Amino acid sequence: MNGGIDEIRAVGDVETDEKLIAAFQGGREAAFNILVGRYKDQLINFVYRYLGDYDEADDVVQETFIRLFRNKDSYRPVAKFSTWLYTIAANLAKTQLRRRKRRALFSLSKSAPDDHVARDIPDTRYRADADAEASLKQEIIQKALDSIPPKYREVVVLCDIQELAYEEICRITGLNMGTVKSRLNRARAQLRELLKSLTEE
Amino acid sequence: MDELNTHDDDNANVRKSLNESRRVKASADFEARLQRRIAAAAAVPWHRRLWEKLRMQNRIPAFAYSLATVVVLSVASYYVFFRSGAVPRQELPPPSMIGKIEQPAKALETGAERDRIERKEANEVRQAPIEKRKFAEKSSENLRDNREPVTATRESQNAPVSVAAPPGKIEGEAKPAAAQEQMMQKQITVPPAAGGPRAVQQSRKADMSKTAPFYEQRPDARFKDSLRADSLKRIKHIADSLKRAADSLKSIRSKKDD
Repeated sequence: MNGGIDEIRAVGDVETDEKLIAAFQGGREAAFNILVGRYKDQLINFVYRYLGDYDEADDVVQETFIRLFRNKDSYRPVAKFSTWLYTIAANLAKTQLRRRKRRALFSLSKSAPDDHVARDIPDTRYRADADAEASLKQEIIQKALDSIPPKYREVVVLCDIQELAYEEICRITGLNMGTVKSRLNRARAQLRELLKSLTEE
Repeated sequence: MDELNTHDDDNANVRKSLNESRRVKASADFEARLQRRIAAAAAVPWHRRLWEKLRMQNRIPAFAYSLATVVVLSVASYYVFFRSGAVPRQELPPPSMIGKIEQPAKALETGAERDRIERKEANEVRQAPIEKRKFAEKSSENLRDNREPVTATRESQNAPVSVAAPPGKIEGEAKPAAAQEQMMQKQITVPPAAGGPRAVQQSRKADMSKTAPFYEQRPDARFKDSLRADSLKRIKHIADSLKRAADSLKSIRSKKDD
């Protein structure tokens, strides 16, 4: 993990993710640091949009990188590295969502609705630059995303927020193209209704 | 067409709003925390890591197993507690046969019940008038003789069975008592069998078919046998009628030939 500066420089010459992961598989831990630096924000954004909770998203992304660190040898260069990493993150996010549902189901405390409200409000630490209108817009978007079913949310986040290609979405979700497109249409239709007031403005 | 275009516009608006939404970034200490976690994970001893790996690989689907257990237990308890109490369907004779079938012989009383009956009889005898008492005493003696042939001596077995009447105590009772005694003498003084009661029992046993105890235990077997016998009779009857028909046909043919 603690690669020296020379090592990082040597790895930095390698451009693509696939070469970086190959270097990491070869034992250069600095390559791992570069990969973390490249993907941490993307993954945090994706998982946060999917789960709607920053702390949970942070935890899931950390777990994703730990899985990558432990199971680096299980990656085969048949697919893009980003697809593989997104697949791990998406699976962990789904597991987290399921765990949360189970917790809500078996929880005896009456404070669940309050928790939900707290989860809906995005973390203010990371929007210091945004004005009040922008933050309201963000809140509405996140609320709308939280309101649609997770299977639609996953596809629409990957396509419209992360701007991934259809083929990549198919590989990450394990769905065929037709299903991805139909889910995307349904997600957009539901979001259209929810965001009507926002888009009209 | 316009509707489709408006939908496309709406979709584009949705895409635009989502795309313009603020990008959430990882916290500044993200990498430091990640390094700490990885280091902590690496510090775990190898045997513990192996155990964790094995445990994760061999995770038990607890809910599925619980469900399967509940199903198996409910099926087993149904058969153990409910089905065992069900009375098997009894085979009843057809309505035309009811009353015609002999009832099976009553099973022999157990020792306690026999004692109770004897005690009851003794009580009745004690309370009954004298002539009845005498008759009962004699009959009970007679019964005892028949019931316990093994204890009887060889001489007593060969001797003729006779009951001597005790002298009447009351004068008024003497006459009817004497008349009854004569009647009893007639009834009881039967010519003995060649070998006494034991021999009689043995001969009875010899005469009894081997299936007789089976009939005593299984009354339905007798009924089934009777049905079988009926069906055999019916078959015989049909065969007879066929034979008769064949004979009549023969006779008709012979008449025609003539």
